[in-house]
Amino acid sequence: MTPELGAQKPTRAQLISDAWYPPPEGYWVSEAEQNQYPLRYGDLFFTPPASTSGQRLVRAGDGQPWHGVLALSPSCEMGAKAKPTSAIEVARVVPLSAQPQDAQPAIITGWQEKDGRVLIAYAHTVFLAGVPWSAGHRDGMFVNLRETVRVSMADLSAAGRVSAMTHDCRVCVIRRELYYRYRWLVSREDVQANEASRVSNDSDFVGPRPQWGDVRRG
Amino acid sequence: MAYQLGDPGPLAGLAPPVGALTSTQLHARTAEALKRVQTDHWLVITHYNNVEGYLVSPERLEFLRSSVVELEALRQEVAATLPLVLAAARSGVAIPSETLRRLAPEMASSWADVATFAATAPVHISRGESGEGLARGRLRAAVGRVEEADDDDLNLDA
Repeated sequence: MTPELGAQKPTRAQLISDAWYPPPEGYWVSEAEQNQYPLRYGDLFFTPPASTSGQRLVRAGDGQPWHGVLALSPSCEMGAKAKPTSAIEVARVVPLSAQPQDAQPAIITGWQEKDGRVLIAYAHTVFLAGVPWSAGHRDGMFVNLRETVRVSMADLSAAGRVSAMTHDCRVCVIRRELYYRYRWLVSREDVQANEASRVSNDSDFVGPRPQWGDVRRG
Repeated sequence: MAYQLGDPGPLAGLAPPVGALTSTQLHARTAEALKRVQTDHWLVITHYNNVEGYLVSPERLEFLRSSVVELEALRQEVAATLPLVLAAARSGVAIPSETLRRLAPEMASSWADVATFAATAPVHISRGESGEGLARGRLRAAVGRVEEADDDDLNLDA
């Protein structure tokens, strides 16, 4: 049975739209609230110095640390199950401003119009809005899903979280990753309904739940 | 093949009928006419100098049928895309659009403006990155308690 979407019903425009991402203000949990949120899939971190295989996570050109990393390991592997030595999958985050001017809008939207059709654009990227309170991450950026590494939980925690991703945005990242990995275009409400089901039935779930995240309440 | 706007279209490859038969000839030499239509693709059938019909090879008929289906799909895609481009033009937001670039080549926007527009304007994605078809999938939530087994007993360095 497909669960109800919950109290916060999507708008008609959202229901009929393939839009990939939320508006910029919908990406990140507010600075005041983010300590209530445990580390999860989708959270943005400062870059640890090296991967578990010893790769230094620095730019090839100038040796400066990567702009950031986004956690891609399942949330349950970053919570109570995680040990300091646990390997967490992360993807490199790249600043939008470093990209060619004409490529930037297509990275932001995840689609582009050509010949009257709307095509997927840069499927290996996930656009991230800037984090308003972060000096180094205030502007737009994106995840490069082609460049993933594993870092230890201890190193990731020590590097620190830039921002916690909202539950709504996590749905968008899962959906985009589904397309990148398997070329399945799934609707946002389907992914959200599955997340709602998973969250509702996870007795180990910690932190604030999404408004749509308890299908048992009806 | 998928047609693009500006392509000459499938009818450009459709040569006019190169031969004609009277209905009497068709009746008398049906086998020959059917053989001939394999190479000529289509023949005009006349009756007292009036065109009464066409004899068309199965391949040509299928080509025409599939062309009509594809052109109708393109028409629907363009019709669905135009409101998006017009909304962006009205809002002054430089979305990634060839059509918009032709209309307003100097238009530029901040990342936040593009992201806000993209999140709120209905969009229908119809093709993959290279114009290939899309696999649209449905997910069906499986409601049930999440039980995760302890997997620490696996030897993952074997």
